[in-house]
Amino acid sequence: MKFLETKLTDQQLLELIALDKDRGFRILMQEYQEQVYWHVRRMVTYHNDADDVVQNTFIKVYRSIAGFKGDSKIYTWIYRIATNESLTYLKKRSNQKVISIDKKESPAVHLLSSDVHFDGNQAELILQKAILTLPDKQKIVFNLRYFEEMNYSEMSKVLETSVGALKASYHHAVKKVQKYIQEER
Amino acid sequence: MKNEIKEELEKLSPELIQTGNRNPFVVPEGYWEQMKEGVYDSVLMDREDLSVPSDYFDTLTDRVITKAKSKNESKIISFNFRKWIAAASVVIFFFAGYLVLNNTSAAVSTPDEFALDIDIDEAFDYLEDQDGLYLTDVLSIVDEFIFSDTDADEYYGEGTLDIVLEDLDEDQLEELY
Repeated sequence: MKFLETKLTDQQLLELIALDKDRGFRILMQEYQEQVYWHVRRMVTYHNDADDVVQNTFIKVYRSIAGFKGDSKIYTWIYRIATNESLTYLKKRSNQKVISIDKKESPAVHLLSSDVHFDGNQAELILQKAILTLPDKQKIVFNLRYFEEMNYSEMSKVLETSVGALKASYHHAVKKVQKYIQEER
Repeated sequence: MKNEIKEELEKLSPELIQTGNRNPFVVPEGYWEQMKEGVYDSVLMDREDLSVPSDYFDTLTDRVITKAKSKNESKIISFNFRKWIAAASVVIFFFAGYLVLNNTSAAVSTPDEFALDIDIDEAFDYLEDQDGLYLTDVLSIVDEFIFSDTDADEYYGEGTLDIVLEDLDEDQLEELY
């Protein structure tokens, strides 16, 4: 399948999907798969978990794209699905009873040090461990703002939360992360 | 890092500016292609579930009409026959009740027991296999045991006869009376 050289607008992409769903979907995936993957990966931390969530996200996108009316950007809509899928996944994961060797650290934090798909330095490792201690929704806000550099207005559309609440959430998250880092040193 | 993010962090946590926001995660080699294929496989399975043979819609109308015609013909025969067999089965129930009421045979079960022992579909299957069952035979049984026995409702519940009669069309009712 040869993909189009020039980037399609949302409108063009939706028109293409209406005409040829498979071809349009392949272009959509090509366009958004990496962004979505990294968004999910930062949420769920581990590659295998991210892979499951991303696949579920795109399967949902494929199944429901016909009903997408274009009320928001495709990117915002896909991010919303990916975020919800990640939250659902994290909830399931937290419900699984895993006994941690270290009472201070969650199993996810403990495993991060030995994750072969983590290539960060010591400061980045501590930062990721700090992020893992955040509540799920604060984690999303922190990642979207700090790593993806998303503005609050866009974030508000993705998370369907007010800008004020998001700013407060980010503020709390940063303070908690900072405290964790200071304690680790 | 964007200035907007930096300015915000300067107030909240200057240390985080120094750590930076480089992505420390990696993916296995060849992952992107493999992931795309995984998703395509899943959605193609979806599509296959909904697929139809290439000439499906071209021939659909003809097939529906042919089927409808043949079904309609067989329905007239079997449906009427089934109605009468059902009527005959009900007659058997009433006949059993009649015998019990009149103590004509000690060997016959009580109406309730008898009713439990007879399955209308089994009766239909059995009678369908029998030769020489004529409408007139059924009519005579109905006439003799249903319409002459006013105690039947007491034993088999009110409205039983109405249910039987509802199944008969006008011509059959006319013939019955």
